[in-house]
Amino acid sequence: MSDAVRADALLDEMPREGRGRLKVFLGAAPGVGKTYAMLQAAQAQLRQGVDLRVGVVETHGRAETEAMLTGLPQQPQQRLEYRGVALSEMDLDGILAKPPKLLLVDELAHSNAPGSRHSKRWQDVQELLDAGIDVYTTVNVQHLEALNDQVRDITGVQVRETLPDWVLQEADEILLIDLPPRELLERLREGKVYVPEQARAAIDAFFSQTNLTALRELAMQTAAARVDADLSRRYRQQGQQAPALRGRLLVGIDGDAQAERLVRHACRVAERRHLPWSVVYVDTGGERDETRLSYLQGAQQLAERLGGEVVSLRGSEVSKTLIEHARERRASLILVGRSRQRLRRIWHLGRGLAERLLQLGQGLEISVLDTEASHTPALSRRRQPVVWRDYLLALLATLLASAVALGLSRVLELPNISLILLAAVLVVAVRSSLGPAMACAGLSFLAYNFLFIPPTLTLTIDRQQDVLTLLFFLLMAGLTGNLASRQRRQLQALRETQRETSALLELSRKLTAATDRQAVLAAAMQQLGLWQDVEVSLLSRSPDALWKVEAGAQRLLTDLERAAADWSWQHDQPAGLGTGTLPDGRWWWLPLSGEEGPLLLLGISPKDGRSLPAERRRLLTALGQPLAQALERAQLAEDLEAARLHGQTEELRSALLASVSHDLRTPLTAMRGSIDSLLALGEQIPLADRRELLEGTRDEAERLDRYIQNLLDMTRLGHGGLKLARDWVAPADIVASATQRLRPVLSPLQLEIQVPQQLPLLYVHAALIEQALVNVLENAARFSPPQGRLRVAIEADAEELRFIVSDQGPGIPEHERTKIFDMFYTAARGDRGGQGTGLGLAICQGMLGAHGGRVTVGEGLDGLGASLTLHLPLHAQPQMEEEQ
Amino acid sequence: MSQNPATILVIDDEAQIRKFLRISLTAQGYKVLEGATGQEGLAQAALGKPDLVVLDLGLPDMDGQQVLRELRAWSQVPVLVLVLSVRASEGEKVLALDGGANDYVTKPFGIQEFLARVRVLLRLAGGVEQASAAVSSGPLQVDFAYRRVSLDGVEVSLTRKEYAVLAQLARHIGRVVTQQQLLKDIWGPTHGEDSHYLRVVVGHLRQKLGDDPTAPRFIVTEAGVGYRLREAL
Repeated sequence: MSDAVRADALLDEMPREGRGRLKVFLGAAPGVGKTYAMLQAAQAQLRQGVDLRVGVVETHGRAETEAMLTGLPQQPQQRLEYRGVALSEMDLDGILAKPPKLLLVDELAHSNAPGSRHSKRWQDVQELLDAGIDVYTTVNVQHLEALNDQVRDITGVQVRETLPDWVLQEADEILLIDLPPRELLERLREGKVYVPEQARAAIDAFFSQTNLTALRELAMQTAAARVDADLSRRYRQQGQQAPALRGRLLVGIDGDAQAERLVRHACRVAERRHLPWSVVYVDTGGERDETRLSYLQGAQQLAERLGGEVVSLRGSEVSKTLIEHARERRASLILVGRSRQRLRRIWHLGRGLAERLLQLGQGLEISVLDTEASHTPALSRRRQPVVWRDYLLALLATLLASAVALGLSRVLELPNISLILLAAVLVVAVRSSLGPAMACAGLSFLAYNFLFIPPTLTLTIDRQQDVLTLLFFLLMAGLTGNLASRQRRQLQALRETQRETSALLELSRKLTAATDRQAVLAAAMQQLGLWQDVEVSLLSRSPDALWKVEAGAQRLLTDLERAAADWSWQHDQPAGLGTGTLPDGRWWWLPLSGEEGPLLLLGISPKDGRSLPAERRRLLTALGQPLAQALERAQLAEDLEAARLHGQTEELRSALLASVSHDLRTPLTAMRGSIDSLLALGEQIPLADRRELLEGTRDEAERLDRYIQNLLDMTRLGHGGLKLARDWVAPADIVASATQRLRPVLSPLQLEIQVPQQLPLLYVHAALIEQALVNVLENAARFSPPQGRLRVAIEADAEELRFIVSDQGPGIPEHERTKIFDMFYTAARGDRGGQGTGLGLAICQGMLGAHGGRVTVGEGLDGLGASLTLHLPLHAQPQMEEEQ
Repeated sequence: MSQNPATILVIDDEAQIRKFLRISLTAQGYKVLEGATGQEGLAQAALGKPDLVVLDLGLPDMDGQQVLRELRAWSQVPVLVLVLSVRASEGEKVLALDGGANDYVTKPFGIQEFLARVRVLLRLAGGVEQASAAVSSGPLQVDFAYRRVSLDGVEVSLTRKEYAVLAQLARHIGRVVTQQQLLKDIWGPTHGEDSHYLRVVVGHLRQKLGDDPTAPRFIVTEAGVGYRLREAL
């Protein structure tokens, strides 16, 4: 026994996290005492102090049941109005608002009134279990889906309120409430079983002794099968070999009425033999009409509900395709229905599907189910739109061929004539469908007879062998026509498949290429938009429950549709049209989810009041997977980018703090020191020195002011709050005010100003450019040797104007020339870079950048030092007035 | 300054600033009144009838512009106002100047500059515009009566606009004149934003007066606000 299998069994045993436990009281028929038993158990729990409540219990007026109900806390029902009738249902929301530990829910298979959240009570119970509430419930065996047709066979009554098998299989405990049929009948007579007057006749038929016995056996079988499953699971847990999973069951279905029956049967067989099972439909390219499709979908949906896998294949021949698939999936058993259609029988030369399977399938077990015809309605005639054009084509082709044949009849022999007519049939078959092809065959046959078989121009045949010739001709014509039209159909079907597949591929490809959310949405809309018959919408839900349409159609949703969307989002499951939850709207919702829950909600609404076939829903669910993954990927990328930016901001902030702390303190230290000295030592310091201290203090104060201005500018740059109030400015004015502001700093140097007389006007925010120039000048001054030369020059050409500041300092090595404008670089250098203000050059670049200019670094004066050039683009000079 | 010393009211919420202004102004021989808030300042103005008000625009209780309006509203004789404002808020300065302030000083300021501006304003004493027929700033002389401008006695030939600008500045010598004011007065009310006209004219003016634009001695550009004709250095 493999560890994997054992591990699976153990995992199954583990209480599912947070999920409630379901205990089912199973009975063969109404009146055996399930509700009573459930209430009894509940009373016992209540005595042990368990917090329980009665969700819904139907006593049917029986006194004993009523008595057992007393003392149990009840959840009031909610009232629903439907078509003027007041109905009461279990109050699901009320229960979820204040969840008890244990809830009693009677009649698990009950259908809820329209307007309830779910269409079935068992779906309500699933939600309760998900919320961690334990549930006691009652079920009659006739409500089990898989047993539905058996029950019908026994009782003659088709039960509509069914329960999917997996619900029972997932139940944690099943208790069989048994009552021998005779005793049950006695209770009925004594009036202890509630019988509604209207249904009395039917119930009398139902409650016959034979029926009850049979139902009892069914119930026992179900319970026994459950015990069996439990037992084998225990075996597996202990590592012992229980009937191991071997092989697989395939059931082949077609679009007819017996498909559902086959599925049910397959389910039972698979269960009995502990096999996984799949429902296989082979599309041979036949006509697709609504009836067939609906039968097919019904069967496929049923299969899903019963826990089977649904497979759709395409192939030219059903038997071969089935066998191939069986070998692929290592199936051990193939189940098919007996072919009904005589046409098919004839076609395959009297051998039905089963016989062919037997022939091809070596080592496989073939099982054939013959279902009764009594209950199946006759397959409606396939109504194809009759394309008159094609029949006309058939006629014309025949006429043309006959004409040609007539023309050549002198040269050709009789058999060869037939070939020409055959050609016509082939052409018609290839260009249209079976009907016209057959029509052409018939017409050709007549033409052949009329025109060429002696005696010509009559329909009588003289020679005996010509009869044979004619018959063979008809046969040939029919065969070729059929074959050709089938090929054409298959080609069409293949093309359609190819289109679908390539659409899927295209979507996957586009999604892989999409790097952000917008691109993903665009790709999705593009592909989904190829389906013309539905409307597509992608919605997102904000934390405060507001819906926003991210892409696609924007339609007003009804309350019900919105509720379905909310439910779908919260439970991460499809809901809406075609599902069991809130199906009354026009939208089907599919959540596209990542690790942490839904990212987007896909909404599909068929146009023109059509329905949404299960196949399409399945295709969309499959598409949803790569879409959800792509969305999550985009989300992660965004998160990563945000984290990176955040990291960068943090780095900048700490660099700034370091700079501020140093660069603010330094001038303050000097100021404080100078002033303290003056205060403390005052008279003792010579006048000249006193003056020097005071001047030093003032200079430091000015430096502090400049630094603070830089900080302010930096915050404005950073927040994008730099509003340029541009005006016409004379460049010389900027130099004037900058040098004025820096007078104390520049005084120990030899300042040279080279500004031409005629300069164009700049259209800039003067204060910012001035600040930039101040920063550059200060920088140059700081690095200049004492008495060094510092030159400020302005150059202008047609495109730009340049402020050039050159010094004789140590210069800036090549590799640092771009780095000096980096805020991190200069700030990090800190103390080593001289008198702080690592921000100055970075701000300079920011100011110029905001104007569309830039800063460059070059060689300084006389081969020493460096020069910084501020480039500013020139605007078209304004119109000047005439000189007066 | 030898006769009745002028009374100067200082309205600023910063005690340290009031202190050093008081000390400096008193040292110059002025009488100093103080107000820490807008309301207080207005009350002091009503009581003390100062000749000049030094008004900080960043007051806690009232908007400086509003104080300005109030000052102008109820005083018969328009009181002179020198506003203190921070750097890079040119809009605020222009607003104040348009609202009736006579000049401004940018914080942090040098005391020399401040005292110079105070002196210039007090010289007006009653009138806003220069009453005299001629004005001089060092070698430069502007004669309003004859519409003559001379440099070191040598006449300088100016165009009509150039003269108009220089004359306007000269009438407000030592004080700032906003560029909007210049444009509206000289070019017309619709030309308030055509600053390029002014730039060119001033450029020509400087050239004709032999003034270095990168270190002008006569016409100083107050970036974003206007121009000022310097007094003798």
